[in-house]
Amino acid sequence: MTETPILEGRNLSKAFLPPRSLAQTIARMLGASEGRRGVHAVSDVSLAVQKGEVLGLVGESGCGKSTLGRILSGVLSPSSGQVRYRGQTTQDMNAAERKAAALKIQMIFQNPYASLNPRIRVGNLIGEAPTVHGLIDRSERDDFLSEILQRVGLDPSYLDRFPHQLSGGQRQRIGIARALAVDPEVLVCDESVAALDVSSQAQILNLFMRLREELQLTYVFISHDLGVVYHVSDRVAIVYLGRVVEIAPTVELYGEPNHPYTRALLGQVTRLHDRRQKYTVIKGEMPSPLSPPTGCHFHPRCPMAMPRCKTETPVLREIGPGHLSSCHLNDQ
Amino acid sequence: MRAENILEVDGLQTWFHTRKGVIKAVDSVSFSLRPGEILGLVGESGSGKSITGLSILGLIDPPGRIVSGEVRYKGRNLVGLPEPEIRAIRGRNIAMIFQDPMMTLNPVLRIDTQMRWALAAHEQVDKNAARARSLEVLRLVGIAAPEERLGSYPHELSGGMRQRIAIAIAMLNKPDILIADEATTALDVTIQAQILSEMQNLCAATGTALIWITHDLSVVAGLADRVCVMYAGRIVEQGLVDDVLDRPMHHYTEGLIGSVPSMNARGKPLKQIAEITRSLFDLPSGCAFRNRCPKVIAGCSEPIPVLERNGHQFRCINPPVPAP
Ligand SMILES: Nc1ncnc2c1ncn2[C@@H]1O[C@H](COP(=O)(O)OP(=O)(O)OP(=O)(O)O)[C@@H](O)[C@H]1O
Ligand SMILES: Nc1ncnc2c1ncn2[C@@H]1O[C@H](COP(=O)(O)OP(=O)(O)OP(=O)(O)O)[C@@H](O)[C@H]1O
Ligand code: SF4
Ligand SMILES: [Mg+2]
Ligand SMILES: [Mg+2]
Repeated sequence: MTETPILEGRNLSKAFLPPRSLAQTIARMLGASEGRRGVHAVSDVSLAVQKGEVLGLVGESGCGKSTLGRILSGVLSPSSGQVRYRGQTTQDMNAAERKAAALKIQMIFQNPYASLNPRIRVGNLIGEAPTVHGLIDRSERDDFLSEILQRVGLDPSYLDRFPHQLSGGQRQRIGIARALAVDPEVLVCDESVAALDVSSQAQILNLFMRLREELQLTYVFISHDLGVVYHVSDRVAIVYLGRVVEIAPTVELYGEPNHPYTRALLGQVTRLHDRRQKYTVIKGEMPSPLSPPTGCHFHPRCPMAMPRCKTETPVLREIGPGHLSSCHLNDQ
Repeated sequence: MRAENILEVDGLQTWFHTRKGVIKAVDSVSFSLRPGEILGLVGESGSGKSITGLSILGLIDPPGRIVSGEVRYKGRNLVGLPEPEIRAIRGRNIAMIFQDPMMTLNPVLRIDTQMRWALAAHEQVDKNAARARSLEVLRLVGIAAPEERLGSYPHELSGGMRQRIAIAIAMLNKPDILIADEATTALDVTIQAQILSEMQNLCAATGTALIWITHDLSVVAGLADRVCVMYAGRIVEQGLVDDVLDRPMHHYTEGLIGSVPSMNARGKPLKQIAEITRSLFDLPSGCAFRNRCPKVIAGCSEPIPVLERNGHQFRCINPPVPAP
């Protein structure tokens, strides 16, 4: 792991503040300190992605997976912290390098229905970015588009269709084709198979794995489905209320989870061989990110919590080769 | 009608007459349900699961219509009943919950008001009795601090909480049958596990029978007693969960099971069912799955009878495990 990671986030945080009220604006002009309470979607997250690997990001709804994915792919700027592509931040780059770097990391969005403009034909949806960025000539456009569609397993005749004429699985393929059209190195896939039934899901996952081989792609794979993540990822990061609480090679994480939250989460997985399952239930619901618990965010639901967990935030630290966890139990 | 069945769906056909042609959304569907039983209804998107559930409750709107078949609740055919009579059964004897709890909940009313109204729709209750019953069902679905929740509006609650309240409302009148359509699909695994565990306890404790509609096979594996697998409007296979999932007798079921990631070696290509472009109008004659089936034979284009082995029913003449 001495190689420079292809993509790295250092101490990333993102807070979404509600708009200021008039009173707050006046108070601020008069020099009062900012008192707005925001959603801390991501708090002090650091992680690195090596070239060619698949890093899975798992966690419950609202824990900040999409926000983290958007920051890593440059769609959203962090409130603090930095993103590095091949070791460089955008400040280290000149304008041309910055533009090139932006294309190298592509995000495939959560909702294939909302992210494709219904009034634009498939051919233009896919062809727009590479044309604008001068990656292809007008003369080679048609061949290029046909080739991309075939790569994602669609017939070139789909180029003339509109998104609403496609099934969910086909739309997801268009989203992938669109990202591939600018020749990226890293794909950030946000819940790319969540809306699909099992048979379409298998097709799209197979497509991702084939493209990885063919194009030497690197993936950040965001999903709340532990079974899917186990299947495709080399390493997995578990996110809880804006923080990465554990990160490890996949087989190790599933086989020897360390953090009490990871253990609880893995206990919820429904499997085909478990019949008349006795569900082990994590007590309580996820707290609101508007007022996260003090100390370890998981302490109100943790069966192992100690007095210290209420007051002191555990640090994410190495507990074995490549295995990081943030739990006070590891200090004992 | 066999005495032990609370519901019998018999030869149900629900078709949509559109300008482009007839969509046979539900085509000759038959199954039965016993008190306290949990029946899983699985199949891919568009296979007819929701329309089956809605047909049972008489909630099909034009251009859809129940063309033939019966839905017998305690021996009485509900198909064709006048609306006031079916309305008396709906919500009281047979209740439904949807993927979106806001289909059940009214956004502008407090939870206690909604629950009181749901009770009052079917029987006369005074305020105190309504409150007591509301608290009882809220506890049943695992809501902590139910007294506080009664005073909340839906928007003040998380998605998981809303879905539990929708289930609680469905349980208010102690229905004999609850039909849940993708009720936990939009929820996190943690919340889903909580709700599934409450549902199991509920059916065991109250004798309510449950039809659990989902495309997630592993949920059905963990929850249900029996399962029906739907493809293109038909039930292609039904039986005990163990029989169907361990020894599938239809190639569609086998394909579905094979494509679940946990049934494949990690990182290896997943087994997948052959892809086709489907039209809802021109289904293949005979077995509708035959243009995707790896084991198709000449007879597959003829009408396929329902075959049975020890209560395990299937519509396949060349099944994965040959019949002895
Ligand atoms: N643009 C925004 N403005 C305000 N709050 C936001 C915004 N985007 C996200 N949030 C909040 O930040 C938190 C994290 O959201 P995010 O979408 O990253 O979660 P997620 O893990 O992707 O959830 P899901 O699994 O539901 O997609 C949530 O509380 C969300 O409400
Ligand atoms: N109002 C309608 N008009 C025409 N066709 C309809 C209508 N409602 C449903 N259908 C068709 O009936 C078929 C069955 O639909 P149904 O909603 O039952 O599928 P499903 O199995 O519940 O799918 P999903 O998993 O996507 O919810 C589909 O082919 C659908 O297109
Ligand atoms: S730090 Fe404490 S509360 Fe947090 S997971 Fe570990 S034991 Fe539980
Ligand atoms: Mg998200
Ligand atoms: Mg449906």
